Amino acid sequence: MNSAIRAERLVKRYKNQVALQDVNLDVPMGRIVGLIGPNGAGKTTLIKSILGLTDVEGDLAVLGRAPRRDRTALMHEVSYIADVAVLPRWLRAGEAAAFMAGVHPRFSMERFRALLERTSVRESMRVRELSKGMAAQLHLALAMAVDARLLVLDEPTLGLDILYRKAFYEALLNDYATPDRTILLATHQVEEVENLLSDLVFIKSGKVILSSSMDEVAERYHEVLVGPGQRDAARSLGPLRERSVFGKSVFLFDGVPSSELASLGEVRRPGVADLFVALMGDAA
Amino acid sequence: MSTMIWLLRREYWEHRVGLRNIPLITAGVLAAIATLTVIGASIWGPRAGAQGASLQAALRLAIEHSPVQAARQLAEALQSVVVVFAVIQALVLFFYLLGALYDDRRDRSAWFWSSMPVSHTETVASKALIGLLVMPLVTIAVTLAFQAFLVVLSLVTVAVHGVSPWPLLGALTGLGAHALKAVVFLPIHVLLALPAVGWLLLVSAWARRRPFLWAVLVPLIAALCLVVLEGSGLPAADLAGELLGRLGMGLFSNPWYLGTGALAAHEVLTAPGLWVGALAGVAGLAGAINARTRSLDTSD
Amino acid sequence: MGQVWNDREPIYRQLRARVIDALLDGELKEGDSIPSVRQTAAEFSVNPITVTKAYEDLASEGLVEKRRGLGLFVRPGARAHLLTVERRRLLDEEWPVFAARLRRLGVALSDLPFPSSSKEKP
Repeated sequence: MNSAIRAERLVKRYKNQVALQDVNLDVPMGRIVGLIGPNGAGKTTLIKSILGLTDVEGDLAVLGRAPRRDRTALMHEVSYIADVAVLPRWLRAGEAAAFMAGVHPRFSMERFRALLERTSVRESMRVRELSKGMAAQLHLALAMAVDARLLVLDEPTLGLDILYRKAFYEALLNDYATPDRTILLATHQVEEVENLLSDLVFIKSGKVILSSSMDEVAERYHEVLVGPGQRDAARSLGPLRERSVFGKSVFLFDGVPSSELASLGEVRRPGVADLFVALMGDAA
Repeated sequence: MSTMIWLLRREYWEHRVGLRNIPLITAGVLAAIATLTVIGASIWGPRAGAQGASLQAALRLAIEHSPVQAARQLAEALQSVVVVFAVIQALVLFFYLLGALYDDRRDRSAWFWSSMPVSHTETVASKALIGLLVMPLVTIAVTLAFQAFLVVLSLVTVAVHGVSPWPLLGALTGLGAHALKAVVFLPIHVLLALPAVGWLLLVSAWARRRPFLWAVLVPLIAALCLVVLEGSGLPAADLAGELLGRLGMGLFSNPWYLGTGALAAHEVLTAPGLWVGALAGVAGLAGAINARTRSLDTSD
Repeated sequence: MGQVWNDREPIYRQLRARVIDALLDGELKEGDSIPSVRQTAAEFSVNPITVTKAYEDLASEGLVEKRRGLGLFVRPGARAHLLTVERRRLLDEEWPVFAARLRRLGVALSDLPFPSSSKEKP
């Protein structure tokens, strides 16, 4: 099994809406995948189905297992972080770790303590005594102390100030991201993580608009900064999007080789946020 | 198996107040009252008062050298204490079970617990075990400890008045049997408690809001409907009584209500209502597991 | 966040360029160890695969070598080799472009202020 997550034709219907429509995904092991989409796009539903918490039609294999049916067995190898609000407020850091050590065969108490040491959180503290940032540190320490093969993060840095966010991703890269682990990161804060990602999935209204590695994205999508004289030439090549910046025009192209575009102006990589907006329409 | 132990420990961590502190504090307060009553009676003479009455009467009889009658009075006092702890247990369990599968959905901590390799079945089972076994065991232990304290207090008081305590102690036959009864009849208690535990956990898992109203009103209205159907020839009023009785008693009941004259164990076990209720309770638990699974499906 | 990357080149090329600059400036000497993929990824907040790619490029250019169990090290002769390659590139590729620009703008060589600080050692 070399796919961490393989989804084919996933569909999830609720009473009055369709949360996922024909979603296809293939995430190889060792990747850091960004799941990007607006609120209500289906990110959480997709994550829930990956974690076996919701029924879904279609084929879904996570680490080679059917998540709904083998949820308990699957969760031995999966770590999950949602935003910090889910940590029970009465729970002490040490109790949380003891519990996980008791139920998670792959949780290591030494690793947890080593990770916690670097924070200002002490084992005797209860979650309600912690600031948001400290709670996030605790949550991350708990998740990273599990030798999981898949880490699912659902907006983990929501509401955290920049120092904590920076430290969060640094800790993730330093201590956790290895070639035999896969990380799925659902987030709004695209600019912050775009260099961390190896793969990109754009989702909107339950549909996957883009699912591709960052390398493929770099080969496929180009932005060109064009002066007024070249605008018409640029338009004739069929850009995805045109916007103006300080009197110049920026065109985004899909599938037009950069050699062809070089004559029009300065060619560059589009930022993930710009690509997102171009592919999704204005609802970002 | 170790997962279940950790789940039970987790329940204890979260509900230390209800599961441990409240029974202990109650016992402590009662112990203080008993001691003060006895001391007061010794100094100022006995007074007519509800709780202390049989204890004081017992002590007076003992001091007047009637150990057998004294023992009987003391036994009454011991028995009356059981009610207090049973009421405490019922209140704690009612609110505990009602919130067990509801509170963590409301504050979203259910997402944290769901990310553990623990099945929904194990989760519901752990909370049911608290209601069926753990809390009752705590209550039994605290009750027995308090009763032992009362016995010791009585013996000491008697001795302090210059009378030998041994006749009184000798007349208190059945203390051992009394304690043993608690353990032996525990399984029956579990059967009796199943309907209430199953119902409350089902409501806790299923209700989107106001679980308290659902838990209380639905059985009441059901009973009312049954009573209204009285004329149709069904033993409706009996059923209504049975329904409410089993739901209500489940939380109160403890092993000492069996075989002390209120109900005999044999009678209890052969009542079909017991088994129907127990099955219904199990069905309620199954429903709770199902509802729990579904609630995570749709909520955020 | 971390460093500011330009959007013209892929990041792994820019990472490679940083190592090369450090080599040319003498900050990285022959035999020095290069931080692990993990450390570099964490420091620059980039994907480890990106770092690996940069390191692989550097290895295939003969500038660094992997020593089993110890990590990545700067190869002896790396700087000299680099200087040769970079000089070639300056003369063959960059200079003609710059010269054409000078011509277009009508700037003579003698008008150019030569930068006074020279970090380069011959």
